[in-house]
Amino acid sequence: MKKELHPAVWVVGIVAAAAILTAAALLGERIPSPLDGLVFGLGGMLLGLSMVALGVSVLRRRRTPEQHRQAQLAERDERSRTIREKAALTCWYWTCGILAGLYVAAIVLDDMTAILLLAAAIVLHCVALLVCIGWWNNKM
Amino acid sequence: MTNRIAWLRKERRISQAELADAVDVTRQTIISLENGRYNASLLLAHKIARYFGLTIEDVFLFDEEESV
Repeated sequence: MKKELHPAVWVVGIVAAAAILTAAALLGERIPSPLDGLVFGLGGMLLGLSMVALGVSVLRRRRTPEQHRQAQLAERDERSRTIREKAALTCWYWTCGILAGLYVAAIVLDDMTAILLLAAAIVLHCVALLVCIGWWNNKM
Repeated sequence: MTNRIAWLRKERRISQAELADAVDVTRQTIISLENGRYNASLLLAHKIARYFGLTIEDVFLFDEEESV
């Protein structure tokens, strides 16, 4: 069973994200142009992830022992695992399609940065699948 | 692959929840096995057969044509 992090960790994440976003807002134009987007993006991502993780963590701690047992069972149940594996592979194809669509849109809009980033994302997406297949191939 | 889980369970008056608890799966998995929508892994087949005190071949009926 995976060890769960204490909700306080996610509160620290929210505080850190709030600090990053506040600092970025206060500094305003003093942050150079490409860097401000990165700071706001990272701050927003950290805030979103921390808030979702905190919510999930709090809900998990509110479970009754029976609900906890059922949740644990559902997590290791072989049918549920098969469903998750099939869903993950289907999502991989969907993500490929979405990235390809965005790539075409970037070409139409003639946005070179987006074209390069999306091309890299498509390559990484496919390489990640091949690496995972190779890893599991060696493990099984 | 077909199986006799529902028949064996009813014969011994065991609920789906009891069987699910005994073999460490959810009740939904037992329902899917009984409906033939899901084929058990070898490990689960072994657990179920052992629970009923039978062999895997007694519980799970392998269909030669289906596997082709």
